Amino acid sequence: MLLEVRLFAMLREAGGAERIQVRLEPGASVAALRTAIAREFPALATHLGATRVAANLQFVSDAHILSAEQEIALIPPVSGG
Amino acid sequence: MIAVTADPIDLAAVEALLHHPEAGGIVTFAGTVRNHNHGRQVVSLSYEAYAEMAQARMEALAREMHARWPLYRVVLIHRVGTLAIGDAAVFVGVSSAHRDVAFDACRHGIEVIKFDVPIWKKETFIGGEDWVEGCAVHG
Repeated sequence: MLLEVRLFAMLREAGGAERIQVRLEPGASVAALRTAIAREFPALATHLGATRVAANLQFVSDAHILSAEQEIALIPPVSGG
Repeated sequence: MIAVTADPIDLAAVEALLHHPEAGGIVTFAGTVRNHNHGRQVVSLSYEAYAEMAQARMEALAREMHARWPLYRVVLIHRVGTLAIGDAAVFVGVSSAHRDVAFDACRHGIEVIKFDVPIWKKETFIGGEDWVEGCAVHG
């Protein structure tokens, strides 16, 4: 399955794009997404440790199972306020 | 009112939204852009949001606050875009029958916004610009 992943703030700048595409096996987890991004997008790799993942506007754990229908985003450390 | 907005926050107008005839206490917090950070002279701050998720998270936060404390009104607003020194970037306000509840709920609201709502600020200072180091994990 081909996932579209939204990037924001420092990740958007590091990646040079507002969205990236990542191909994963059907039924892949957030952990697999992290591994794929680290491998395919070296510019993002150093940020991933502190980054959370959101699916359909909610934070999800590394065990969460992804699908192409979900809106997926990488959430680097937030700094609102 | 729960909002992520590019419009300036009119503090008097949003405070007025909290008034309720049974409320004995209104507590508000306004986070404003200050002119210094880590020894640097700040010129402006630019806020970027994952707007749909920020709105959803703030609406969920308001529901959680209503469930946890007896509140009459909750107002949560965050600005996006470029703000100047002194501008209000965030507003949290609650009204309740008594002050203890209002102080606790307001404090909780701003802390959750700072840790859990997908909004980021980039600081423009004399000599450069940089993303502000933020909150990576739950507090």
